[in-house]
Amino acid sequence: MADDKHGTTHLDGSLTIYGYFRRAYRRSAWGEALPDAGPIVFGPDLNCALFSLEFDGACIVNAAYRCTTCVTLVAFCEHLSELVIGLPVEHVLRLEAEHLLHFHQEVPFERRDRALLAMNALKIAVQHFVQRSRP
Amino acid sequence: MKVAYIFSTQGHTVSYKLGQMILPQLEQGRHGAEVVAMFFFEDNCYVLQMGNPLGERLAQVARQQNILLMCCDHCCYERGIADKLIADVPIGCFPDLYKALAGNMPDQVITL
Repeated sequence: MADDKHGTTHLDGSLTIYGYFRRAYRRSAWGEALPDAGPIVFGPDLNCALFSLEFDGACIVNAAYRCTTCVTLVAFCEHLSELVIGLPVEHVLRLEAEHLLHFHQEVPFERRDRALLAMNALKIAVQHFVQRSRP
Repeated sequence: MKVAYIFSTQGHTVSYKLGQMILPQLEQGRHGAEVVAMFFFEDNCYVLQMGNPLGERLAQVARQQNILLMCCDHCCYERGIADKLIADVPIGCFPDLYKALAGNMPDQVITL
């Protein structure tokens, strides 16, 4: 349900950066370790992120993450963990940070590097899974 | 003496203390301390929205006197103004503030 009084949704009803952050904040169990997580990826300003993915053989069926507490980074990771569900590995590897930024025009220039960090963490987790899956 | 102001309290903090005391004093060159930074929390961020007369005056003084202006990122996203701030006013959090101040450290940090 839209919760516009807190700036959580765009006019089209999609979640804003603040909407994704609030969803993550309410749901999070940050202390729990992620099973079979990909490597930690570091970005500027000491921020970092990692993803844990589950596949059904071809597509991602579950995605979880941990990251530092920058509101923009948390929101991008939260959005990505939703966006990739049902996507095949090849498709995920073709995603770019610009895809994420396209949904979030409200992010000012000085915070856009968080999209790249989140995307890199996701792709490295995918590559990590692909390498481990090879016979 | 170098000072940094953190505008945290709601209410008349910006319109009264900043708008009617600090800003006019800075414009007149008689504030009595060198201001190196101002950081804005919660509703105080609205003053730095594009087109806000007080904010535009403050931004002009900040450019002239090399004062860092920064708004809390969380606060701006919540209010839907992260991309509507006056040019060159970034959003940020404590790490960004400390990093920005590292080369021009204040002697006192004053929370209003």
